[in-house]
Amino acid sequence: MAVEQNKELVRNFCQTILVDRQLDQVAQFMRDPLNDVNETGKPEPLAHVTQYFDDYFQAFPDLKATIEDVTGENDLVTCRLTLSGTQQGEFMGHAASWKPFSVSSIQIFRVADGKIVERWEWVDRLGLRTQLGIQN
Amino acid sequence: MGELQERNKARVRDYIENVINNHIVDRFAEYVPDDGIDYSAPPGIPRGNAGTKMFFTMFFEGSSDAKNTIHEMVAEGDKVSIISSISGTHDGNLMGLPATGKHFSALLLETVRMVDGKYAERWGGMDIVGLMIQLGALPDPDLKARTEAYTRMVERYIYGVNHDDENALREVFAKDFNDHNNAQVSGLPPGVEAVVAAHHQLNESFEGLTFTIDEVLVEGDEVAIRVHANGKHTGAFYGFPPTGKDITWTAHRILRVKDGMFVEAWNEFDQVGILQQMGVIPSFAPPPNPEANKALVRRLYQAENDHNIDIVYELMSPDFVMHGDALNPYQKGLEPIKQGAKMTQDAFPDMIVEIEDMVASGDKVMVRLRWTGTMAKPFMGMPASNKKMSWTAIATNRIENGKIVERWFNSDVFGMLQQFGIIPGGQS
Repeated sequence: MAVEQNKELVRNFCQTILVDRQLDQVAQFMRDPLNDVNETGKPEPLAHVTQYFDDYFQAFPDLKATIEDVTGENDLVTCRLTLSGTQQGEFMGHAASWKPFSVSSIQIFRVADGKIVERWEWVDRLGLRTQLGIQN
Repeated sequence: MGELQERNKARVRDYIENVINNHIVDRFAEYVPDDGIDYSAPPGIPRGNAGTKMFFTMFFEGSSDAKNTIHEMVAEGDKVSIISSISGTHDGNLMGLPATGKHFSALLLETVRMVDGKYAERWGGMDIVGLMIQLGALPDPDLKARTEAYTRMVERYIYGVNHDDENALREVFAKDFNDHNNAQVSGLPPGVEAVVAAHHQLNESFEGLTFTIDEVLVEGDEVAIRVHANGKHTGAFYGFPPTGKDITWTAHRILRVKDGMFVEAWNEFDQVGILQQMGVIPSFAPPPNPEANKALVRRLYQAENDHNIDIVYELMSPDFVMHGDALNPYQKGLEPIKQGAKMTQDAFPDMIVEIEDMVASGDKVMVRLRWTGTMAKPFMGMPASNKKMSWTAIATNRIENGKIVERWFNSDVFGMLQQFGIIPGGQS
């Protein structure tokens, strides 16, 4: 069933890219360009999307992504994650705080022809900032 | 999809569109049970519908027109995930932020577990950090990238106008674009097609139409631009037949961006200036009066002889601009004029300036001057010579609304330096 295949694709994506950080594998899972709705609402070169993931890994070298739940319907797949780690590099213009955090994230993907073509993301940035002690 | 999933999605849609969007917080208990868990609730918010009610009551106080728009729903098992955005105007106290009048649109991703048509558990939520950035409460880490992106859009827009390229305009203006100044031009279609039609018309009216971007400012979701345009009036404009005149005008425009497109804009441009240049309506400025301008220039130099320096405030504009020479370089405002006159008077207490000739036309007066005086104190680094010295100058003064606003100036600095003995050839 297509929904199950789509979910499998997203599960593999989350495992390979977000958990195992094999950034050279991004093109295996995502179409270039990708419709990255959060950023510009327009198709983005995959290199930009990869850079976005890499920025997170640079700021949080010990980032741990745990897949909590995956659901799907039609061409959409949702993935709920827990992200935890320590801020060891610059994040959103704020220097390393060396503080630990654990926050929730929801990522939603649209799949077409076996590839992710669209991406929505919510990260509990408010919780993240609070735990890292970022005031402004 | 199964019946349960369809029922759950219908419940979510009913809750968001009929209850939340109508701000009926008293009906929240029909959709969120007393013991519902919201894993992203801010600290201090109670559990269940009481917490939801508390949060939205606060939110609606900060935005009286807040509206939640559903983009997608994903249902599987007993879960429904919703992609939506909350948009509105920040017209009240929102989470401690006093009203800014700003428009916001915050993404909301949530997953809910439905039990008996109610939100038993909820994960995810609104991008509150993104919202606070939009309202200016937090610094914007993406400002540089967004400024660049919006500037590219403005450049594409102006390219489209200058090249009468409809597709360039359709690339950056949303289909349902709302031009708040369309009332000024009748018979335009709605949306982006109005932009296309209006600029096509402008290209028909002005041959070689060229807009130049003079300023681009980006804040939040708005980009504000200042431009000037020029073109030859070779087609009808506002019903006035072509005059063949070269016309130039200025304009300001503030555009709001959503999802990478201009969605609305406000516009002011110098229509009356265009019509005045075309000669179809008279200029508001009084006609030039060369005799009055000469009298003004005469009063200015007489006052210099009377050591009444403060008269500059009466006869010259505070925005006065001097395009000078080696003796009097480029200056703005009146303070440098006062300083220069005072320095000269200190060094040459008996200094007299005489007007030897005046030629006046339009708004300008050219005046030929001669200064004569005894150098009693050091001047511009030169030791006092106690000799009588003299030098000449010719200046163009431009007069606007009875005040000198601009001056071009050449003086015999060479002759002055010869008298100081710095350059050979003078009688020192």
